This record gives sequence, C-alpha cells and structure tokens, in this order.
Amino acid sequence: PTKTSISKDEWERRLEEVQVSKDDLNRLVMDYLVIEGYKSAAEEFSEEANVVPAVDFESIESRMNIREALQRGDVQDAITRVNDLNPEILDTNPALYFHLQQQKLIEFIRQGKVAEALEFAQQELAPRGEESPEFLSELERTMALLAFESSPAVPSAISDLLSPAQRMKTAGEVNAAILESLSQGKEAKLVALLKLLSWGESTLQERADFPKVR
Amino acid sequence: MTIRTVNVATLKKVKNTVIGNPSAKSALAQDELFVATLVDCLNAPDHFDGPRGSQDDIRVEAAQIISSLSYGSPEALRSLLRADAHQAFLYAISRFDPSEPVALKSAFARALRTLASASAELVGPSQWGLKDDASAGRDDAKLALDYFFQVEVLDIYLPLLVDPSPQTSMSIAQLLGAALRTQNHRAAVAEWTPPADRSKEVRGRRRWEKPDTTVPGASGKQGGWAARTLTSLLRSRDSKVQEAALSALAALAKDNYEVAATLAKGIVDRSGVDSSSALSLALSLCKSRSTDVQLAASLCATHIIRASASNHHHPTPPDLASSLIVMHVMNRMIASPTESTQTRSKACFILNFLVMDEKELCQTAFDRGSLTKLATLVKSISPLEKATELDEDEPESLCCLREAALTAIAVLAIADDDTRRDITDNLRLIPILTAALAHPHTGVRYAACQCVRALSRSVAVARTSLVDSGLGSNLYQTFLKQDEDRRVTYAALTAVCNLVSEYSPLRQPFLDQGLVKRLSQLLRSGHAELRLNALWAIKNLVYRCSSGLKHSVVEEIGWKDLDRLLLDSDPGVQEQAFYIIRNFANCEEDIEMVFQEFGPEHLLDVLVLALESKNGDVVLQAAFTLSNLANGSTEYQEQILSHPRILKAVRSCLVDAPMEVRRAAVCCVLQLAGNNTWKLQKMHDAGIDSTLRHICEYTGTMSPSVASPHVMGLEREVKAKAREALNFIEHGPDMIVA
Repeated sequence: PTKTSISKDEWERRLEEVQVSKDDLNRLVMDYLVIEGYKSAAEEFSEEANVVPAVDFESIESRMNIREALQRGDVQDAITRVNDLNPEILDTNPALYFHLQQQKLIEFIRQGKVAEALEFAQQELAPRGEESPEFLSELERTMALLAFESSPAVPSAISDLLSPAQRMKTAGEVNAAILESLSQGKEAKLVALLKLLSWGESTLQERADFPKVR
Repeated sequence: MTIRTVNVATLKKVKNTVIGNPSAKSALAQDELFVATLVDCLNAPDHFDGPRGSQDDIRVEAAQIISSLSYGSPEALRSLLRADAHQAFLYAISRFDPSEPVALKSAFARALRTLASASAELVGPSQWGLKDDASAGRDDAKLALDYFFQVEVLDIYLPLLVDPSPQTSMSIAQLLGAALRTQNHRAAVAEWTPPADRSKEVRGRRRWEKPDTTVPGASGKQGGWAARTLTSLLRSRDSKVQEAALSALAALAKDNYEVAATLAKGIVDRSGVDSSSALSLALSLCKSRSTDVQLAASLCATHIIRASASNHHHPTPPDLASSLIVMHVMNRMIASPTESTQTRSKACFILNFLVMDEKELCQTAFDRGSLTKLATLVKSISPLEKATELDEDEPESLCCLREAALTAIAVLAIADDDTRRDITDNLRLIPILTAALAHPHTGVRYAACQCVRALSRSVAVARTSLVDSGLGSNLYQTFLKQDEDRRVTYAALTAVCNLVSEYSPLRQPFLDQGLVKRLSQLLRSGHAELRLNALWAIKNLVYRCSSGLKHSVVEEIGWKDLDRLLLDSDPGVQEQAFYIIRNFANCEEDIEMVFQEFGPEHLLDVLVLALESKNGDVVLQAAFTLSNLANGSTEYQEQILSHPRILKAVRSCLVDAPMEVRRAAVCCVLQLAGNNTWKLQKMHDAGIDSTLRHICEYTGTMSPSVASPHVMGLEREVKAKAREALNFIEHGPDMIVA
C-alpha cells in the first residue's frame, strides 16, 4: 500500500490543534529538574514560573550531594549519605551495592593506590563475587584494569571503567534507586515523552511521509 | 573489629560498614558482646558516651544496625534473637509516648519488621517457590515468631498501624505481610481488638445477648480491627503505603475463609455510608501505575478470591469476573520481556495461586493464552544446547523465574488433557523439561517433576511423549537418585505413582530398573509423605498384576515392614497398606500366605483395631480385606470365627457405618456363613443373626439423609445379602428357602 504524504503546512496545522498549556510545560520542566537533582535551578524555576514541586527541596539536595560525591570520586561519602537518607536501599539492592564497591575499587586504581586496591578487592569484592556469581564478570573486568596498568594496549571495554561516564552511570543508578524508594518516578517525564515521540514517529513512518523533528 | 567506646559516631561507622555487606554482617554478629551492647542501647542509651540529647540518636543508630544485621545470614539472625533484640524493641515500643520523635518510632518499627520477616523467611512456609531447607537457627526463629503473635505482644505493636507517621504504620503492615504465614497466627491477628474495645465488649454484654455485629471494633466482625484498618490504608495516596497494606491483607486473607469473605463484601461504616470492599479496592489497584503495587494488589485480590470461595460447608466456584482482572494483568506481565525478572516470577506464582486446583479457572487461563505465554517465557530463558558452564553462572533470579514458570505450567497441565497435549505436541516443551530435571537449582528440578507428574495423568501422553522422548526415563533417574533433596524425590515419586499403573508402558521398564527396591527404601523414610506415596505406588503396581509380580513385590517389601505399616500412625498409610493386603489375598494360596506370614492371632488383632478405627477409609479397607480373607480354606475361616472380638467388630460395621462399609461387612458374613453349620452358633453368640434380621425387616431406609442412586443400590444389595446370610444361618446352606 502506498504511503500517505503529509505536507509541512498540513503538519504544522495539525500541531497547532493540539492543546498544551503553559502550565503543563512548566510542570514538565520542574519534573525534570527535580528528578535530575538540580536543586537551585528547581528553586528558582519554582519562584519564577509559580510551579510547586511534588517533593521538598531538601530531598532534592540530598540526592544532589550524593551525585556530586560520586562525581568527585568519593564513594564512601556517597554510601554514608545514602544510608542516612534511607538505610534500606543498599540492604535490599545487592547489585547497586556491588556497583558502588566496584566504583570504589576503580577510584583506588585511578589514584594509583595499587596495594589498597588489591586489599580492597580481596576483602570486599571477592566475597561479593562468591555470593553472587553474576558479579564475577564485572569483577574480572575491573581487576583487568590493574593488570593493564597504564599500558596503551588496554581494550576500551576495560579503560571505559576509568572514564567520567562510568561515575555518572553509577550516580544514575543510585539516583534511580533513591527515587524508587521514595515512590517517585524514576525517569523524568520529559525523557519518557521523547521516547514516546520516537516510537510514534517510527510507527507513523510505516504508513506516511511527514516532516520529522530534527 | 573491636568497639571500644559506643557513641553516635562509632555506631554510625559500624552502620555504614555493615549495610549491604553480608560478610561484615556475619563477622559482627559473631561478636556476642557487641550485639548485647547494641541491644542495651535500645532502652538504656544513657549508659553510653555522648552529649545529652544524643540519646535518641544512639537508639536510632543501634536500631538501624540491628535492622541491617537481620538482612544477613541465618546465623546473624540467631545471634540477634538470642540477645533478645526483638523483646527489647517491643519493650521500647510499649513505652512510647505521643511525643516520641518520628525518627525513633519509624526506626524501631522498621527493626521490628526486619526481625519478624527474617524469622518468618527462616521458619517458612516459603511465600514464593521452594527455599533452601536451612535449619540453622530455625528453632530460635520459630519461638520468636510465635511470640510476635501472642495477644499481649500484638497489643504492643498492632496499634502502630494507625500511627500518624506513614513510615511507622507502613513498617507494621509490611511486618504482617511478611510474617503471617500460618493459620493460627492469622486467626490471632484477625480476631485482635484494641484492649479498650475488648473490655467494653465484655462489660456491655449480658450473657444471653448475641455479640453486636454492627458495633465497629466488635471482634471478628467485618473482618476484625486489623482488616478494617488495613483496608482504610489502601485509600492512601502513597503507593508504598498501599503496597504494604495490600501485602498485609493478602497474608491475612490467605486460606482464611472468614476474613476473606468479609473483605470481599462491601462494608457499611459508622456513618452508614457504603464503602467499597477491600477486594474492589485491590482490583482497582491492579491497574496502578506502579508495578509493585500491581503485583501486591493482584496477590491480595487472588487470596481474597480463592479463600472466600472455600467455605468448608458449601464451597462455591471462585468469582470469575474478579479472577479475569487478575489473570489479565498477570498474563501481560508474564508476556512482557521488559518487565524485571522478579516481577515476571511473581506474576507466574500469582497466576499459580489463582488457578490452582480449579478446573474452570485453569481452562479460562488456557483460553486466554497463559500457557503459550509461559512457554514463550521459558524458552526465551533457556539455552538451546545443554551448556553446563552456563548453568553454573546463572543468576539466582533467573533460576527462580524458571521455577516459577514451570510451576505455573504444571498447575495448568494438571487440570486438562488438551493442555497436556498442547505442551507436548505444539509447544515443544519436552526438551526444556528434560534439561530442567538436571538443573542445579532445587526449585527448578522440583517444578520440572511437577510438570512430568501433570503430564503423566494422560495415558495417551504417557504412552507417546514420555516414552519416546526419554522424559519418563529421565524422571525415573531423578527418582532413583539417593542424595536428592527429599522434596524433589517426593515430586518425582508422585509422577512415578501415575506411571506404574496397569496400562502404563513405563511400568515394566521401571520394574526392570529396581523400582521395588527403591520403593521399599522410601517406605522406611522418616518423612510421612514419602511413605504414603511410596505405598500408593505399590498399590498401583499390584492392582491387577500378575501373581509373580505380586509376590515379588510383597517379598521385596517384607512382611514385617508391611505389618508395621498396617499400624502406622498416619491413617492414610494404614489405608493403603490394607488395600495392598486386600489385593494380595485374592486366591486361596495367597490367603494362606497372609495368614502364615502374619500369624492368625496377630493378623486378626490388627484387623479388629482397624475395624474400630476412627478413620472411615481405614475401616472400609479393613472390611474389604477381611471379606477377602474370609474366602479362604475352612481352617482359616475357623480362625476368624474363633477370634474373640472379630465378630463383634463386624457386627458394628453392619449397623453404624457408611453403606460401603456395610456392604463389605455383609459380604464377609455371607462368606463365613456359607459353609459349615457348626459356625453358626458362634455367629448367633455374637448377635450377628439378630442384626441381620433387623436389617432385613427394617422397611425404612438405613441411610440418614437423602441418598444418591448409588447408595440406594448399595442398600438394596446389603439387604439382599443379609437375607441370604440369614437364611444360611437359620436353615443351613443346603436348604434354600425362598
């Protein structure tokens, strides 16, 4: 079957017909700021746009502090803060705890503290690997960092562990776990909307040609 | 680590070391002195260092550490319970005043919850699938758990369900959800009323007045205080509170007709306003945005639906409309690859609870595609070739998912032949089942055996799929395995029971591979369910089998062992044992053998005991056995008649018994009366002839209530035989008087 073709004008006309209030847009932005943990931005936005967030700013601040600690490489501080916020989280989430321990090991290696790294790996991480075999491969990957030292032949899968992206990945995991424990959404609605947009476009693509969002 | 000083700072440090870290928890738990110190902190923080005003902080930190230790190993839990941690918390809670800070209340409530749920996990029964049969510390945990549900103790913490701080009330709801696993505990909570209302009730009521059913707070009415409070918590906006309340209601309603029936009906509250029933609230929460709430709501609805239909006196079919709602949500979760492994496992189990042993519901689930979805799920997580390397590394969660899916498949397959055929022919699950039988995870093997058991109910299926694919023989290997987990052996045994019947193509192959030896071994097991099912298998074996087989089976088991089983404490075992003797003694030679091996005196003693048993099934089989034995040679008939109590026992079976038993008894009398005249005096002495006369002359019906055609037919047969026997007794067998 041939595809229908929708012109730019037609498309724009249809877009105009959809009602999205300023209020809706503001709430979307506020939701994003809250979930991602941008406290001061959220506070200012709240004043200016006159939007009340669903949660108090303190809890946003706690999450922000945790994220910052991880981005600094201070994993122990992050763990302490998570436990202050909610002592259940790490006890009921072994994968998360393992990733935090793994991050700690990575930080030791990054700082060149090889002896501490080895001891930490033996004392803390090896038992985790014994308890849950699914962590073993991750553990091996991390230990491989030590093996390669600063050799240029390090495969990217291993060297990626040292990148800032890895810290952000861990931080994101912690943030999501905290949000879930507070029964808030894990994902900013804006992000979910983007996913929906993408899915909608690809479904429509099968039947029609239309101007896409760049 | 040795802790020198105890203050907020050091406790915080300890806390941050143990949370999430199983080895740190085990290590700390072994330091008995420190654990005792922690427990002391809970109620006497002034003994320890720190500025004033940090008392509560110390208490909170100590509570957090104890909570975290509860999430650890069974040894850690045992060490906490032995240090009376739970009692310390209860004592503290009993002394809470209204101005108690929220942080303290919620920390203590949470600690109570973690201790209770860890204890319940250890003691069992498991809520989701098969758990490790660990026994370390189980006794301590059981004591603690029973303690938690005593009325005086409920008085202390149940009121926290209405505490204004949601974290506190939520912890208590979660406690109930995790720890309520037995009927007596459920009853205790369901019947609990706040002390103030209790004394009101007693004071206000005069002895002849019935309990007032409209007064809220009246015990047991409208499901009791706990059920009502939890139902109102369902209306909270906080999804975590909803989830906690749902799981508590699920645990309370499970297998509990009274509570479930009330929760299924709408209630009229104080102001006469009709509010929705807990069931309808749960069903609407099945559509919540949060997956965890959906799961908790589905579980709650399921238990209410099933338990409210299970009235002992008149069971009704479960509510179909409500069941469909739950089924729909579970099917969706099972089929969705984006849901987490835990979610899908729970969905499989909840479906299982919903349709188990209900043919109509199983059929409905099948029609709605549950089986196909489950099969797709299992196939998606199973490797195509049997890669043993992979199995070792398989995460626990994936094993649990496989177990859950196979269990649900087994439950569906038990119900219906079409389902079984679908499994073998269309869905091609046989290779998966074969691999699962050898899986390292106990729960997976258990579930696979259940599937084979279900499949074995169809003779046609057994004949083709189980034999051709070798699945039957694989199951048999599991059955033979000596060091197998006994629960898996039990499941394999139930399948074997089905597969050794008269027309089964697997009967001979099993026999050739040491079946009887293994069965005799299991007959001596310490576990009643293994003994019983082994006996059942033997019964199936000797039913209409060749004489040679019959003899070899009984000889392998041993007459001594058979004797012991006739006197087993479990009436189910006795019943089967008599059945076997009854089947064995079907010709004169074999009757002689029975008498010889047991010794006539002893044999008849045992029969008398059985005929006088409180258990109707035992009496029936004993009567049939005697009836067969009475068919032997004159010598043995004489033995029977000479036994002092046997005729008396037979006589009471002629009158005060169900029709089947009477028929067996009258056949017995007929046999005995049929031959020689000299015996008749003995019969007369025992009052048998007058009883027979009574039966013949009685014109009304002998059965107390309206009888089915089957029973009426039996009654006619009994009367006819009684007449015949009476004839023989009065006139001798040679003269036939019309």
